[in-house]
Amino acid sequence: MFEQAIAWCYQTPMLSWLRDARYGMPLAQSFHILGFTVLLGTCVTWNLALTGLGFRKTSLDVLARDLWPWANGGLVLVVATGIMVFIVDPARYVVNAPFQTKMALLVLAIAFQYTLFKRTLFALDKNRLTPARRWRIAAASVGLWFGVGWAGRFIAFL
Amino acid sequence: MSALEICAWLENTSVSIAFKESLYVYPIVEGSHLLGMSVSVGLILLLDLRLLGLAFRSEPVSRIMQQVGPWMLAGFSVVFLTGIVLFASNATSAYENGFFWLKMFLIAAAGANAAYYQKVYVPVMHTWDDTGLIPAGARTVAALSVVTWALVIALGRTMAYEL
Repeated sequence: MFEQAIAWCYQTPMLSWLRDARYGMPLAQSFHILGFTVLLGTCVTWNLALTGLGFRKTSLDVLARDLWPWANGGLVLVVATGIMVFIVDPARYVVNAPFQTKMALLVLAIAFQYTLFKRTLFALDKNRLTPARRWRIAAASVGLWFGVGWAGRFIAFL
Repeated sequence: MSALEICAWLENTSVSIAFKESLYVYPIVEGSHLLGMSVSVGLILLLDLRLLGLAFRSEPVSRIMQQVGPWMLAGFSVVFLTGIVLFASNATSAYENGFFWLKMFLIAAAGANAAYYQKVYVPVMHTWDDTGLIPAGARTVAALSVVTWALVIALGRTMAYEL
């Protein structure tokens, strides 16, 4: 079943076209990185505010409310283009250790973003969070998203 | 010495060769280049969103710019330093790569765009706070910034296919 699915990716004309088009992959990856850049911009902003290292003059409520849709948009773009890059050559990626690491980190990053992190950002009682807890949440968020990016960059090398 | 000879020399220094052949150092520098870019350009895009009225409408532009500034510069210094190292170790093929030169040109254009904003709009930014109206020229600078940086990202990704 799994092997059939992989074989299908190499036999479908549309995917073959995307794989062989001169600028197919560079273009998909360019949008992949652009989406990641938007995502990371929001991540850095929120976590600087959460720890108090930066963005002290704008309330976390405003940062959360105004940037949340952009983070979602960035994530949708990253995942959609990521699927495009993966699906044209899945046999290369499924056995690649940095890719496997990236996917594990991505699942954790998304799970964290939409549960504890989101609750923290939008929490009305955020002032009751201890500084230590703010730092732990920020470290997890930055660590997971930077980890996804770094592991992604390693795919081509290992 | 011609420019190409200088590139060849840069690429063949023992440091460049050791760097290029290292299993982990090279990808770590590449990763730092990517993440530094995402932090700095990501923050610039947030400032552009504010100028275009797509985020933080309730906040003065000057306040967003002031808070974005130091972290954006920190990200840029990482991108710039890792970029020099990456160029040195691929100097001749980068020199002959059209995408590389187009990327350099667009970075210069993005810099000129930012310098123009700094000179023309930073001194008058505070006057926008009362009305909330941002002049069309400043919004044009923001739109150009988004387009230019998106193209820099695309060219950076595309040039690597031909190194």
